[in-house]
Amino acid sequence: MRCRRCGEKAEIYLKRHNTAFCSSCFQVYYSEQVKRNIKREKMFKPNDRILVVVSGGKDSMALWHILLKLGYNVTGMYINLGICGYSDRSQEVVERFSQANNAPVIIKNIEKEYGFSIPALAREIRRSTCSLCGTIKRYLFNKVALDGGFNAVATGHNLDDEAATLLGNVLSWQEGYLARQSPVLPSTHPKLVKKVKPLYTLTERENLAYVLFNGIEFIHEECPHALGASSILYKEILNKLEDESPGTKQRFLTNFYKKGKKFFEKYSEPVKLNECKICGQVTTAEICSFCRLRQMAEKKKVDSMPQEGEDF
Amino acid sequence: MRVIFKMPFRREIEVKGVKTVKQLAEELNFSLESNLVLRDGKMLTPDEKLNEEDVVEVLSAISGG
Repeated sequence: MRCRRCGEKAEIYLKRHNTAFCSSCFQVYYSEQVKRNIKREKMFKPNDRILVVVSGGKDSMALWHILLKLGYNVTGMYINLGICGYSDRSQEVVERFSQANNAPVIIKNIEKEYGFSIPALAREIRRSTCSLCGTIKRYLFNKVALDGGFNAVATGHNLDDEAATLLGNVLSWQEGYLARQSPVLPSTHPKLVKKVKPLYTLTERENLAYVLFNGIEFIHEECPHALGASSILYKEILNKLEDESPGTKQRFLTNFYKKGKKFFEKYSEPVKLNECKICGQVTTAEICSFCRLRQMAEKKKVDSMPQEGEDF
Repeated sequence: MRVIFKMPFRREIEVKGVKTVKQLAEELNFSLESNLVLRDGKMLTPDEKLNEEDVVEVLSAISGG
């Protein structure tokens, strides 16, 4: 196959665009997609300060790299979640990228800063590690962005992530989630920072190709807790459809935004937002879910401490 | 040829004959939408011919989360 732009030998074929590219023309395509998404969805302006949350995986590393390359004012943020081995290895990947590219990064360590480990707490309070991890990440993205005066938080969510989320929400007709799914989550409170997904039209495969073409180091291993996740099954099913009928995945997502989403808007009820009594972050309750988790972790610690006069 | 699958678990298999990347994917039942196929660190398009002595890597692009 030949590259559609320059006629040189192609290295990647994009079936849904019926197009093949060489390495350098693929990068033109990739950066045009990202630029177009940022502009079309009004994600951020050229001088905005962007906090890119990175996990060390291919998608967030690709996003960090492309936003730096496009000249945006970008700071990386990595959260060490204390997931044995995996977290430390991914932190090293992030730190090496930061040093090599002279790119600022903020590192947060849950265990060191807040005194609890996610897998241990999840076991103790009988919640899934992934739901705990989600709560903590969402809290810290916003807190760090707000405290640091950032205009937007950018995540590496890709076309496969968004299409799989949509499929999951459609399969169980989650009207509220369908009403809210979007490449841009605007700020609905002065203390909530806008969240954006500049890679939402690029597939995981394209992000993998981008990091390989650019020699960007990334952690290929999967988070041990994600193995067997339903999102992976949905992605495989969507890719089976895609193999048979190229373009299905992107049509499913973009036509939902264009044609389907409006039917669910009435289910997006405005919720009353408060400031957490403990930390001041935005919550729908009196105490935010992060502070409630911290309280539970503290209580577990106290409960497991030897009491005075207790025999052993 | 030697075909090495990298994720989620490393697996190696030996495949006989000359074939294209597309034929290999069909024979081994993996999706070219979920994976990238590489030889000597270079990505390959589906029409690329693979020879008996080639070492081919199949990288999964799918991740959870």
